[in-house]
Amino acid sequence: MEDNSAYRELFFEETDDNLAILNQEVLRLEENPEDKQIIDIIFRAAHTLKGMAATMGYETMAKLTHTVENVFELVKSGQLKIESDLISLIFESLDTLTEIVENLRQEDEEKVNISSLVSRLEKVASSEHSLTEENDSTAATSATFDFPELEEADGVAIESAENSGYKLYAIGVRIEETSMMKAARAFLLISKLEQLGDFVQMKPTAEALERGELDEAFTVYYLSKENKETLLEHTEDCSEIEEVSITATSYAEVAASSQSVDLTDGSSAIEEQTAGNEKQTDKKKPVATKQTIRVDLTRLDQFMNLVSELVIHRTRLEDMSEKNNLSDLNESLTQVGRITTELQDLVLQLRMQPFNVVVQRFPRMMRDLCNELGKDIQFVTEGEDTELDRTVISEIGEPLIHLLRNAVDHGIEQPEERMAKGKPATGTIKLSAYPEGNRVIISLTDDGKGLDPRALEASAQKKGISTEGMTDDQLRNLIFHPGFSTAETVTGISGRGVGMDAVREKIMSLNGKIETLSEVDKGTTFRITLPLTLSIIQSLLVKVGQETFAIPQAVIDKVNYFEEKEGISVHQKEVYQYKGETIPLVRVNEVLAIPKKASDNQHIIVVLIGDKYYGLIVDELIHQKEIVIKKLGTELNDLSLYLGATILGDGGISLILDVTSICTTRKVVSYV
Amino acid sequence: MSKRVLIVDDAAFMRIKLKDILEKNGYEVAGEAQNGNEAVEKFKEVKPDIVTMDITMPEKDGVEALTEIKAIDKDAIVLMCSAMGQQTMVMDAIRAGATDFIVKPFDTERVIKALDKAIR
Repeated sequence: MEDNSAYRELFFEETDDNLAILNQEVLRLEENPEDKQIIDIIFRAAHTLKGMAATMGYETMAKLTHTVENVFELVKSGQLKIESDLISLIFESLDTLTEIVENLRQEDEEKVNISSLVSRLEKVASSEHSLTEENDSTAATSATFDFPELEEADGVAIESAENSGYKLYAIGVRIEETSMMKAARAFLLISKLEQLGDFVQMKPTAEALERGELDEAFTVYYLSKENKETLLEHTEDCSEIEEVSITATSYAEVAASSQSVDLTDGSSAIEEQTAGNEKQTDKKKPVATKQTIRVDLTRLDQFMNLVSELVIHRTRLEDMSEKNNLSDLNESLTQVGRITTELQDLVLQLRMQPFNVVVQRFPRMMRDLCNELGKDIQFVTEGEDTELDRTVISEIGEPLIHLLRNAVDHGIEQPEERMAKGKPATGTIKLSAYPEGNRVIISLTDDGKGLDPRALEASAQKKGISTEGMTDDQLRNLIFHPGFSTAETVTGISGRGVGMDAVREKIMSLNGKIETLSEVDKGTTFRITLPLTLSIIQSLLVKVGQETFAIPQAVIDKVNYFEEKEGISVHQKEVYQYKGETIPLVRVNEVLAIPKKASDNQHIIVVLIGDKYYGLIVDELIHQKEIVIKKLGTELNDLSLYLGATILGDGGISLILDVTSICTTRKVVSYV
Repeated sequence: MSKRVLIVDDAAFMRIKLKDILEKNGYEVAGEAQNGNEAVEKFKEVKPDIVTMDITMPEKDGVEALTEIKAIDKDAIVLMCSAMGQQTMVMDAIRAGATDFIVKPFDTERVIKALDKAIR
């Protein structure tokens, strides 16, 4: 084997792309089994995969892709019908392929056993194949092979030949795929047939064959006085021919069948087209092919870092020029300012990826889930082109999978149950994403049974969670309670009791929030709000003691003056009255162990963490500012109270508070 | 009675390989030739059942030799051996009456299949 290591990376990238295409398109094919375009895409992707695998010397992978390609070859030629069994088998093959690719990526040997899968695929291919072979009619043959068209002049000639004892044959020849010089192979066969009769039409044309243009199959209309058996015998002594199909026919038959074929073909093509159009306007614009290059992610991050550093120094320069009255600098500083802003925007855009990157694997998962659970669900996605920071994109998948599984498992009822409730038997789950200001909303709606506050209450009490005095909304929010699961039987799909709290935690760690809207028997909607980017955030700069800290604005609900008398002591805890609720007070200086400064400018910052409010007491507000988050080095990993640090305009560094851990830490302290 | 084959190829390596393939599969090598002239002479001398004929050879190439052999015996079974990319020459050979052709590098199974079919 050659040393292909240099191409490995490219190989894996392209393989991933092609596998994704396959998964996506096979799923579409299941819905539109007749769509030739989809079949073509699948065929091409499988073919590319095979070629790449063979080039890299990955034989198992090449073998499996080859078999899959063969199956699609039959589908393409109309010999094989798309049925759900076949789709499942294809999906199984794709899974196995993915597994093989993962093993290869780990530089493991190709140890996946594909023999049973391959033989099943081959069985599918061969059983259909023999079916058409047995079926010795023109219709079956013309489905297999693409015959040339007969012209009127041909008709005259054929009819006169037919009158003088010639018979018209439709001959289709398929040459072994691995055979070299296929055109010469075809030429050989043709020259043999030429000894026994005459050719009327040929596809591809004789000229094309002479130039060596031939894929695998060629077809001819052929006149001969010999019978079919003699012809078959005569062609049989050519090697590397996969299949020769000879069908006796007549001009009348050919003319009639081609006409009717044309008619039906034409109308169905139009239907397909209009259907396709509707779908396109309905769902998304046709994907324009943009030129792209792949960039190592670390380089992008580095670029981002450099740009933010540039922004910092620009601000410092501005500060200096102002302080020292260097008006000469103003103009160029404005220019620099504009350019850095553009740069910053650009680098942020570079990091954006469409929501589609996450979504594309869901339809497949949903399909499998529905099959497994016997539910009938229509899965709709919207706003796949909404862009999100790639960090968010890569982190949001898991929580969404969990929510989707819950929706299928707990949300949507069995078809009979739905009918009984007067709902359509097919449930709908809709996943949509859309930008809203500098945030992105992802909403996941199902029309299932909804969250029943009573059931939740009962379940909570059984688990020893106090529900006293809870409103329905609060009861619904119990699903986010750690260790809470409404499923009576724990299934393999969801309901392991860990999950919803993890979902919420993950979303919060992305600076986002999740809300629930639900009505019994109407359905449930989860609304996830996420920041567009994680690298630059709006923050409120505050002073605690002598230190300046940044608080992410996303969590802030309200900021107020705070007077000592507003803090109320209850059971060694301090609370605060807010919107008619009593919320815990957190004195930031105490949590951070910073000496208290006498201040007459104390503020309370009310933050919303999950569904709970907390009041943070700080000594002074400075101002709002857009800041660039810089990660703390690994040596400072233990500092859980900070999200990171940022460099301020004056060159000073300030830490960004991790409000969630500050509030929860305080809770631990207070219970001790 | 095993069929007798005349191997024509200018490269000794190819002759040895082909000979090995043939003998292991029940054919008898009746003779070897390393150019077109020799091929025609040997054909007259050993009267083989089948000829494997390389296309590119010095002095007289395979297509010329094929034409001469066909002139001697129009029923002669001649299998052309071609390297990749010689499609036009293969087609010329077919026009000149070649029974079949095999493409180098030789694949044992393919060679034997082609021979089996050719002598039927």
